[in-house]
Amino acid sequence: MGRERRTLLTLLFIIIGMFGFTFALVPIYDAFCKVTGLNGKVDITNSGIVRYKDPGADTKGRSITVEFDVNRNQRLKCDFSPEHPVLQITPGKLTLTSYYIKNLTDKTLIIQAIPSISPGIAAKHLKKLECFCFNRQTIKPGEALNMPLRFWLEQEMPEEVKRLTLSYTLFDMTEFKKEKTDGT
Amino acid sequence: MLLPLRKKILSLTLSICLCLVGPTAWADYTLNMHRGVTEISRGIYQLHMIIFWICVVVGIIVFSAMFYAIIWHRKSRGVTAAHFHENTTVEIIWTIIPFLILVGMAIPATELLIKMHDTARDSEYSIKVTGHQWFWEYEYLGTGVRFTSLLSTPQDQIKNRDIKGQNYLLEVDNHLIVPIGKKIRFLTTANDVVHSWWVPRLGIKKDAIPGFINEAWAIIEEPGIYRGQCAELCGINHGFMPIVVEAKTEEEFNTWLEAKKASPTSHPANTGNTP
Amino acid sequence: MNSYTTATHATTADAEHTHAHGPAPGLLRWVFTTNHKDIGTLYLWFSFIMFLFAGALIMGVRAELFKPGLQLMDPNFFNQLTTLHGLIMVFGAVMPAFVGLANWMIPLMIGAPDMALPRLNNWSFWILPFAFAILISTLFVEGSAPNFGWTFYAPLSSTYGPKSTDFFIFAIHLMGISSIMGAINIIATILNLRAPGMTFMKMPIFVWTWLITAFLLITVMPVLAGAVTMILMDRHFGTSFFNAGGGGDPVMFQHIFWFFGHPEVYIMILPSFGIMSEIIPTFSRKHLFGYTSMVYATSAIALLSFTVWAHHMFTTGLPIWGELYFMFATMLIAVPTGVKVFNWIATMFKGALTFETPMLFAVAFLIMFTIGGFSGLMLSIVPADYQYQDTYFVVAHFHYVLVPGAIFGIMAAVYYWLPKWTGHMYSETLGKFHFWLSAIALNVTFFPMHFLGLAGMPRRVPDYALQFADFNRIASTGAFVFGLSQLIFLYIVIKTIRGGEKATSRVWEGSHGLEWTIPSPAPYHTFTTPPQVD
Repeated sequence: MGRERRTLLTLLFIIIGMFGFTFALVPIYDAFCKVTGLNGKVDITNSGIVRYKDPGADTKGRSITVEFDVNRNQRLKCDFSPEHPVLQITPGKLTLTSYYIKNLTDKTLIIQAIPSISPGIAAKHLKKLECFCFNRQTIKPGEALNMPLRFWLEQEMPEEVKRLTLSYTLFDMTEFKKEKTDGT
Repeated sequence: MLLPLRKKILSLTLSICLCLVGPTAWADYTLNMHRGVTEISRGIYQLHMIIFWICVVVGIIVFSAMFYAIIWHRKSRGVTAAHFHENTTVEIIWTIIPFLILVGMAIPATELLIKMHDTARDSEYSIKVTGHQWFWEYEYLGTGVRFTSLLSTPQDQIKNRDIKGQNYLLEVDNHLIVPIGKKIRFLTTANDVVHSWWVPRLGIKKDAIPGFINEAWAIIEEPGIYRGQCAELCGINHGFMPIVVEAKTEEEFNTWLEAKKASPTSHPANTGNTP
Repeated sequence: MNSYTTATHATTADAEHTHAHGPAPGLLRWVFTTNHKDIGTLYLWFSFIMFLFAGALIMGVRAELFKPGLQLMDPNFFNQLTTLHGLIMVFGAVMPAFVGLANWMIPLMIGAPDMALPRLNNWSFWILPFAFAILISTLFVEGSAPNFGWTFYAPLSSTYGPKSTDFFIFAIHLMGISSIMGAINIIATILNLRAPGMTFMKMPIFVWTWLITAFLLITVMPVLAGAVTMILMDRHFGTSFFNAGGGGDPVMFQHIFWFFGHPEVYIMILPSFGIMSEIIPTFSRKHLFGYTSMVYATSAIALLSFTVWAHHMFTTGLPIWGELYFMFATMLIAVPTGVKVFNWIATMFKGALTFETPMLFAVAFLIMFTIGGFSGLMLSIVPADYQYQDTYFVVAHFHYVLVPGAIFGIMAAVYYWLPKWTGHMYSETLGKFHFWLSAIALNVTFFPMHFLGLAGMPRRVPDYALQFADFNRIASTGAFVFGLSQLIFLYIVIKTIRGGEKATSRVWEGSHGLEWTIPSPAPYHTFTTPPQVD
């Protein structure tokens, strides 16, 4: 029965391997999205590696329209609005804007803002120095916050991008015990 | 009785062909896709018809060979079976020819797809489309104009207590008003589960995914009313959240937009008080 | 040379030896049996019952869709019916039926006394009634049964799913374990128990297609298990695999699901391809054309099936090069599939054809599966798919490949091998009647759905706009006739088990293969001494 035993073990190895592969798909998918910037998924973990270098006058005269959009998931009872709904941005130059969030409920909320960028090819060229989406925010009942966003568009942004939309969705994470980690 | 049999086969083939020709002639009877009112929707229609006809021709050739065998190679005709059972040359031929046909199909498909992904070049209007359980919400980015769009067919019609209207299940309280001749970006997202925004006449279908935005664009060429439906199972009333896009001339659209901006129901900020 | 001419010269001494030990008496025989024929019978009866049940569910759906308006049920119940119809047909009818055919026929075709792991075989079967009792019970307990489609996308199934979702997850795990164990058994049997002289390239094609299918099963069923586990974890263990708020992504669910889902549909069709490759040569009285090509084409289809999953996701917002790649890869599958169709037709060409019931099903398969293949090709064209996706065009496509494809394959196999199993010929008149009624009714049901999809009717809706009314009425009528026709099939099977014209060993004039060298009905134990295959 030696042959049969070997067959069995090989097959079991494949089965367990594929089950593990399914879970491995989660970080693989995340890494893939990070490298390619697909899905408009923007890095929301402030790895601290992001470095900004002011290009000075060397901006090639480009100007890109950036729309700042907001969504409240499940109609979260918060006011949520951008300080600037639209900005003309020069690639390479650092921009500072902010978002206004007000807790309209009578409970403390823990919220997480998740960014998404369209078109997808623009996503990996939007770099953030400071963003309220890096962490969950705790807001007391009735409290209002002005959350800063400091970012720039890389000059490597493809030529055909003339307009992009940065959209934040606010999620209620009050019930979630686990701190957000990369992708899980 | 060979002659009547041949006639029968001929008439059968002819009638099948007529049935297949039917769909193009019957576009008015909603049997086929519509050409639609955008360059993309027309491109999709043409591509669809090209692929369809290629399939029909291949089908006729393949099925003719089979029907020939069924009729002429029956044991009851007294034939004895041949003995051949392999031929490498023939295998190579009928691998290469279909491959080449596929390459031929892929070329126009690729061209059209590249055009459809051309969202980055500038556009004049950005409209955010949010899918909710179970209605759509529209926002004209940068203007503060935002409103919901719910099914307006009365329950009495759905529950069979009243006669159904002409636009049964395809009518809403607030139409999405858009201008013709201008490039519009539709940004789709969702509030809860995955929905999908589909307007056939515009050639647009894009999933609405909670936490993410997707993008599609259109330049609508003719004024009119274009109806669509949610195209991703999203719960109980997935079948009851239609879309109505009303395309107006630029002047009419601007008038409408200005009035909407000034009206008290529009919301300059994304406030918690609105649904 | 393949096995067909040589197998008839195989030693049949053992075949005529009637074994002194028959099956155990009484009903417990069926609980404890490790005999591949018994277990094959169990799988086949189970799948038939599930087929009728899932068919009954969809009769409810088509009754509601007979006219516009909500007449018979609320939309949530409608969603439960469509969900359970899909789940039970895929996991309870089609897959177990093919496993049942594998169990019955593979040992006979390769000259083995039984499957490699007979006790595992018993467990593989008996998990299924438990799994489906759990799944079907969700219809009868308080609260909603699963209502999110058989594809259970997140977050509809995770965050927004009813309580019964957890039962659904458990049932899927059980079904997966059953399939995986069955696949292990089939691979071990085919690799290790072939009669001496039966090399791989002398195996019947049905054995080949099942070998390949079994590898697909062990590779992708664990992925399904992973997907449902992630849903479970999102529901109860605070994870956010598919919840964007926690850093997850609903689209990732679709990638994981369809990475399983696409090979799954090939799991549901490859055994049918194998059955056609057995039946068509028999009734053409001619060897299968291009045996080697057929093996390579089937392998190519299986390998390619891993690389095309995202063609179910063209509207989710994939980047352009992703859509282009998946479009090209999906179109490519048409090539080996076409090769198979051409080979089957070449087998018929210049043969001496007769059209007993199995051959009628085979010819219907050839025509209608090919039509389903054409609509599949249309769907692979991304820009056009934007108009077809999630409409009745897709429903038409997959029902054309599954009903005349998989289901007719199973029915053809049953008619083909029933005389071997029971020792009686089925009534040819009744068989033909069942065939014609089914074939016509299925076209009346599903062909109009192409038009409905093109005209703009979405899927999974309990009600529709008025312009879709005529074709829905036609489709529903066809569905009712198709459903009733299957009761004829039930009658034929029971009648044949109980009696009928005595069947010879050979049964069919043009048949070749080891299974036709043993008596009909097949003795309880066969090939206890392996035959020598030249």
